[in-house]
Amino acid sequence: MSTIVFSIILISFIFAPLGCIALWKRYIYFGDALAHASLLAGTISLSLGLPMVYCGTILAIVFAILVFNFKTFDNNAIISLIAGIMVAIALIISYLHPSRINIDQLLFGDIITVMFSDLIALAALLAAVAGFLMLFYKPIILMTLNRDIAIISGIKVATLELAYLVLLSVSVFAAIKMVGTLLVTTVLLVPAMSARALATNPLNMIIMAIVIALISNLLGLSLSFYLDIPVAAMIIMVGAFTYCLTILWQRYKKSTS
Amino acid sequence: MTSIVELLNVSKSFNQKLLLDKVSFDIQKGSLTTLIGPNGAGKTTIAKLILGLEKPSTGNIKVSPGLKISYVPQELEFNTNIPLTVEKFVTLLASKEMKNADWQRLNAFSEFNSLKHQDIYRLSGGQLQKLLLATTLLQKPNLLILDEPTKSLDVNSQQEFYRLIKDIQHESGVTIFMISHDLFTVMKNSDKVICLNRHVCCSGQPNDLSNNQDFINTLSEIGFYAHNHDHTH
Repeated sequence: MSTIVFSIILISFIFAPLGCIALWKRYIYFGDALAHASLLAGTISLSLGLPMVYCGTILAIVFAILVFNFKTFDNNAIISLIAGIMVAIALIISYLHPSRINIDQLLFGDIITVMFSDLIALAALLAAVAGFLMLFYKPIILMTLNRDIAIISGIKVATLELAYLVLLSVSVFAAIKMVGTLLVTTVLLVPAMSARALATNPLNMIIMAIVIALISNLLGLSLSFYLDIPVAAMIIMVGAFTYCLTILWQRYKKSTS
Repeated sequence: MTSIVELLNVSKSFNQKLLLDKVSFDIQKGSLTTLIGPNGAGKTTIAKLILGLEKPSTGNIKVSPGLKISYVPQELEFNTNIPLTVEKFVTLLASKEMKNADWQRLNAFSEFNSLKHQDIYRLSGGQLQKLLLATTLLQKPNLLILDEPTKSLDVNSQQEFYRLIKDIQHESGVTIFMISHDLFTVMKNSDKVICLNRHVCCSGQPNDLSNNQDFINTLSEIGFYAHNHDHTH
């Protein structure tokens, strides 16, 4: 049980800031396509008996680099195509190894299967995300506001964007085992969306997103055990409820100011 | 005066379409050079080439080593998903720490004190442009590139803007390269005007150009430019 709780805490810390940047940079579509593409990592790891996180890491980097290199074309179309190819390969592999691969487990996740090795991978990922934010906080915000001004200010925007995409991809793949490919993007974005309704500056939004993610993810986990409902679904329901509350709070604040 | 930027036969094509054809001119240190021309003439492309955001297809661009360049784009498109107050925006944009005098100056030009706690998205186009301009000017770059800086400003603000530019130019000797459609103020304030329509049609001091046919065409038909190509350069 403690492994599951720690994994949820780590995912909250990793996803909340990455979700904020995904909102700022409008990478929502990327996250969604990435989640679909992660089916491939799942099927490869199950068919070869390899840990999901390592398969996912390699595929995440391949996905991020492919998308990054084709970004001069219609970005969404290219992302969709690459994700589609990955899903197609995943379905072919699952068709060839029906006894080894449980597609349902990949689509919806299964938090019970989390192991200590997953915690180590998540902890390493958290260190990478924290380092990325601490080193590049101001460049990230400036890059989000205006790419040209950021480049002129001496920020290596392309490198920073690629680093973020790789981090996001690896994080999404690392969480698939627990929350599933269908719901991972929502788990990524809901805390950031709630924090946006309350925050007044970017740093404030990241901190709020972490707090909201911790509360709603742990509450979702507790309710899922108590009510015997899949964890990811419960986390999203609690997250959506929190989001509604923050929107109501925002409207109340506007009406009184 | 010495050149701090020099373009030599610079051409730029994109998707086999020629955007700029053998453009040559220089920007003198401490001057205010204005680039005018109709829409699609390649003005913003020139700015991006000087800034290093684009590479020329052929030709050379020489920029003095160690030149600190700042840029104010035509408009900033904000993603409202990022929460940002006016004060945070200015702090973020300022490449160095702002002194008290800088804040006062910013306030005088852009009513900063009354806006600083507001969400940046709530500012009008004019308010945002003024804020962006003032913040960039106060960073005292060696070269400031402005892409249609007075587009969203009313007449009074335009006058204030040129006053601020002149003040800061006088104090710090900043060189300004500006793309503008605002012809009255271009004539009044520029040291050099360059007329562009994919190639340089004419260039010189505003008074010297007043009888130049290309210049007159540009002034009268800007935006609906009918440039005659039966001449040689």
